Amino acid sequence: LKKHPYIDLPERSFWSKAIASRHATEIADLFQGYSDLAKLRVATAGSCFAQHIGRNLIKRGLPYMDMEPPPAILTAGEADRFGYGVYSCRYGNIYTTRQLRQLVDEVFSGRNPVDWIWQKGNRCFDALRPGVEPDGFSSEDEVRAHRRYHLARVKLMFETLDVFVFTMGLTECWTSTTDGTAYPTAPGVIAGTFRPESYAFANLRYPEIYEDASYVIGKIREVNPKSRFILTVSPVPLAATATDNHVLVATTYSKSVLRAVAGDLADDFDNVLYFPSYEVITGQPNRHAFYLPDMRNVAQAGVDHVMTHFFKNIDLTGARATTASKAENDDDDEGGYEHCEEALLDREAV
Amino acid sequence: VKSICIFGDSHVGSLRRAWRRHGAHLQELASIDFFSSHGAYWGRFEHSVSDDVIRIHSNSVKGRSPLELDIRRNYDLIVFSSPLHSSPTFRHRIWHKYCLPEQSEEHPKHHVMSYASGEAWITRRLQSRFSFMQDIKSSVPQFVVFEPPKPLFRVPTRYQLSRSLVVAADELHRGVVFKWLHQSGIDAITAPEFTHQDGLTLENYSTATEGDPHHGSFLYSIAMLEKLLGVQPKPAIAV
Repeated sequence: LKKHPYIDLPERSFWSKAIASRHATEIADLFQGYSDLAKLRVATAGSCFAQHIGRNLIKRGLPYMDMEPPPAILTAGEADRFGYGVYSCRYGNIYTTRQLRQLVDEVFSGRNPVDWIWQKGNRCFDALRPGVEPDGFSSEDEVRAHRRYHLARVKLMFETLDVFVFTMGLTECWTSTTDGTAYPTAPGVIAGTFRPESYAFANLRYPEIYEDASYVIGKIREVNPKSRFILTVSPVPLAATATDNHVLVATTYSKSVLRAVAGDLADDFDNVLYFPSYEVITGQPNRHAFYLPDMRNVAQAGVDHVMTHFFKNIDLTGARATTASKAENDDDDEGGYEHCEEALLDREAV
Repeated sequence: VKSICIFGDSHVGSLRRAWRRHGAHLQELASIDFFSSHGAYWGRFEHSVSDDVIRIHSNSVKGRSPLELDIRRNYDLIVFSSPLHSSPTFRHRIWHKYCLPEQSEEHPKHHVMSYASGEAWITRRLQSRFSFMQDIKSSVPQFVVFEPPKPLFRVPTRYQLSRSLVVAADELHRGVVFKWLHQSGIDAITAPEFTHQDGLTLENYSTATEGDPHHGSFLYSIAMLEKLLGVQPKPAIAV
């Protein structure tokens, strides 16, 4: 008979052995992953931090899905500015599970949002991904043509991917009072006009987020039964909160809920893993050393550290690491947060 | 008699030949010096403006000697041909994989590229010419830009591209340049309406040389020279 239930547990189960007695860089066994990932078609989406996963997949020569590749006529800098190569499709940042659910419904259930073309001057923006065309489109017809193409590519991605990596970023969002459509940015930040009667603030709660994410997993598996998932939570704090709470308190609430949902989904569904990028950056062992001086953005060293855990158990035999990839050549001092619409909230406030 | 200098890419050569062979009725109106060169020289080049001349140096055509050109600043009118030459845009291999939004239904297998992406590409390629034109405009009495023919009627077949895609790419290119010229207060001698239809140059106004995808015929060149000299150009009845 065991003396107590912890007696046979491995080192990773004990703080003293797994953390206290090790240097932060020697912490191991955080993520098992899919060992055959190098042979799988991997697609990414989510909050800002998800950008690094795609870049690192490319860097290591893994079969990363780029369904909306940049036209070769653009320089790397131009392609990046137009939101190419940031995620597997050009959907920009998908901060909330509600946005992801809407996208899935647009693709598979004919969801037709009412208020999704916003104006700024004489330019038109796709309000569901306003950051991908920084100067907007020339007309509403152009927005519609691009969205048709985009949805076709997203559909193909969901139908053919092996692994979908999704990084949850926020619980807070702005929604249409007409049909509930959730937007990645508040109206008026990049484009559009904020009208209190047309837009409402929402802070998604655990049950809604769990329901949204479960729905997405189910919907994708209807068309692609073998699809696997990796969920992560962005360690990047909120740039701003629209709640009455202090932004630090609001951040803790959001990240706690997202972390709990991700963990429960991993427990409740087969072939859904939780990758602890959040813990690697925010956990005690690193003493928040991976944050840049603003204590929000993550330094490149932190990103690299996270990715070593991601790839630790993956057999990379046969993968052809790229030595001159766009990602590698970029000056990435800011850890890639150039594509973070949420950060614009902060800029507006300054 | 007005003194004019027309310089730039190979379209200037077409104008010169037309002027010499068919331009007798215009030669009493102006004295024109033509400086024609390979269009690729104008992709990357350096220039400087001194008291008397605009000096241009380009070494951007492989296997050819550098272009060294001095243009006197005291011509009554200086005409530049190059920025509106859209052939490098509409003939680019990118159009075999990508299309613009308006062609997306006609080309369901193509990726869709935004007009803004295309404009960024064209603007980058033309940047040195834009700076050059700014400098010239402020250095000479009168400066205008010459518009070469729209894509010739044979271009879609020759490059296995749809007509709509060729026209859209051409319009994208010319649109970027015209917008810039307008903002900079620079005029252009534009292609007469009767020389083209539905975005392509008509056969009469396209060079007869079968393998040539972009030069105008004598008729086109004469019509443009007439327009330049204020003579009302008329459509040709027969070739």
